[in-house]
Amino acid sequence: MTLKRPRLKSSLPARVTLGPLRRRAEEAAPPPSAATASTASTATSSGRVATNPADRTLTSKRRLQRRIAPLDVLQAPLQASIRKVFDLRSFLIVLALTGLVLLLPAPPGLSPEGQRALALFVFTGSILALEPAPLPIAALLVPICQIALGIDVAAGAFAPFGQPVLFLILGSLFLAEALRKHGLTRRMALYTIVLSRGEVRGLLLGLMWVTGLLSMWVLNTATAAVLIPVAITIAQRVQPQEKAARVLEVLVLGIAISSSIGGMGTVMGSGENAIASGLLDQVARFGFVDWMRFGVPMVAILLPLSAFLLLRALPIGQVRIDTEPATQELARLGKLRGQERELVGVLLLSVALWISGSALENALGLPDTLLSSAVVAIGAVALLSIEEIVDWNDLRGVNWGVFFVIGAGLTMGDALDKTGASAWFAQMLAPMLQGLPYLAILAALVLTGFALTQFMNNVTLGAILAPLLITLAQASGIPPERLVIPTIMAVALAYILPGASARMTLVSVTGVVDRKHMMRAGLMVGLPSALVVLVFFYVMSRLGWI
Amino acid sequence: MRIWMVGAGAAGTAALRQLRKNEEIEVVVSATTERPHAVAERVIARVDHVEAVTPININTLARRIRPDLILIDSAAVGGFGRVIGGTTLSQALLEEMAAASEYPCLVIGA
Repeated sequence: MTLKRPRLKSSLPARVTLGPLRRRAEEAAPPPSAATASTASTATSSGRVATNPADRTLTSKRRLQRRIAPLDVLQAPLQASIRKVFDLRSFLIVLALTGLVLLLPAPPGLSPEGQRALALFVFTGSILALEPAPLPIAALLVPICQIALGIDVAAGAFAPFGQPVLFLILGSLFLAEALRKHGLTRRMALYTIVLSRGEVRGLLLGLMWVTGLLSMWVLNTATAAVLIPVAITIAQRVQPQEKAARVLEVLVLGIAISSSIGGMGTVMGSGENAIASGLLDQVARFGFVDWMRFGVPMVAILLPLSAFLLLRALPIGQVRIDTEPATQELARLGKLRGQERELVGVLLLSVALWISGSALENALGLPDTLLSSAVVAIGAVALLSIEEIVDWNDLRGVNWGVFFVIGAGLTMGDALDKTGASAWFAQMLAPMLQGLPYLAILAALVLTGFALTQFMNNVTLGAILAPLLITLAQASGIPPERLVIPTIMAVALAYILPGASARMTLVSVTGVVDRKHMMRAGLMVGLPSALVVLVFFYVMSRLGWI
Repeated sequence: MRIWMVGAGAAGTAALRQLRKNEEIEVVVSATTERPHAVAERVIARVDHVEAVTPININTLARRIRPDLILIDSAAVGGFGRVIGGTTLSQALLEEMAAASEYPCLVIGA
């Protein structure tokens, strides 16, 4: 098909890019050099010499930006896409800190192996915090360091990467990818837009519930990543458009915050939960439902509270959203098709088995752990593959980074335990904790966890804190879950700074939220939420439910 | 037929090589840099339009270019890959662009 090309009114080029090269090829000229090709490209078919391409682009961009304003987002991050992969300076700092611990004289009571485990602890904390390499690669260096320090051989160092909780996370990652591939996450967001009837507060709350509920069952970062672009589209329908940027900020922050809250609900919701649960399971039998007993009430309390606080932190005034495009798109998408229905069925079945698996095992006399959460997750992935709902090509989009960070956290916890470094910590801490009431310890941990998580990725912090908390619990004679779960939940309240969690990093890299607004909203939503966590767990302990 | 190629990374370059086979096809290329892969490979001399195409501006630009088809190279929004969840965000943005587009739109290389 050939179009009679009308004259373009924009300052975009009046001819196509391929033309000059093609014409030169027709003239049987040798392949054009970059310089000749560039010269050729400025000549139009009528022989007219076009203006300088750079000027033309800039003019065009300015004109377009005037039309697109105030929603001029995503430009800078997409244009600055080339980033440094390895930062030697940060890596040298990591090595220096690790070396320092090794060179210092061993503290009394700590074995040489324990001192090397402490060095590994410093290596893990610093490499995950400074990220001299992309996080997954940094995480993979942890078992290598463990081997290099002589703490364990390769088989032992990599063994924690085979823990069941990692396979639960793997299943969660695959499910997230399946939901994204088949557009179910997006479809739920479209339903929410339509149901909101254009009322932004209702839409925010609805989106936060959708994000939160999905984040309970698939990894929270993946849920946020899929819904942030939907928020960008929604913001274009805001009336009046002058408030679109503020609405976009609120929606994107709402998605990020609710994905963090939703992630608190289950073991698989967030990486730090998986690490804590894996380590708790080593000291006492701790399963999927055990976490949900505390996680689900926290989600139910914190989601509406956070929506309310977010709107107080960043008021949006009187705005409405045109829901007609969402209605039209839902009509175009039609009803759920075969594979989409199957995916929903597999997800619902998995949720049912995650919750009731242990009870079913006992009732039916099935082999132990046959219906454990990890087995159910991998079974769900197998079913999705058999039904061709996902295939191996889809796995490229899986968020492997979290998988390796969790493995690194478990490796470090294992090393601290094996070498006696944990026991040494416990002996050191025991005198300090004598006589302190639970409320004081809880308050110190929750608030410290909340403060630290703003400066360090929450999964990383969870990886560092979880083994320490178990040691602390052993030292103070408090059941480990009483310290580990509330602190890990406080760590999830990472809203203030971009590096606090993968969700906030995503928000930051899109450039849609002003840094000051992120900090204000993060503090105004996060701090009251941390206090709620504190009060909730104190009440639970008083009632004897934890 | 006029095709608007958004992004000129590896997949876009491969598509451009194929499109050259048909004299009737006009192609307008947008990219985030002045020297994307297709220019470095000398498949095209230069890009026509240097700007990130997003769900926000895709229709504004498309109304000016008036393409019969938009091809989006998945590398066009690949800038988030290094952060955790960045790949998913990039893919979701591509899907959002395709959904938001008022013109027929295909994502290539995803």
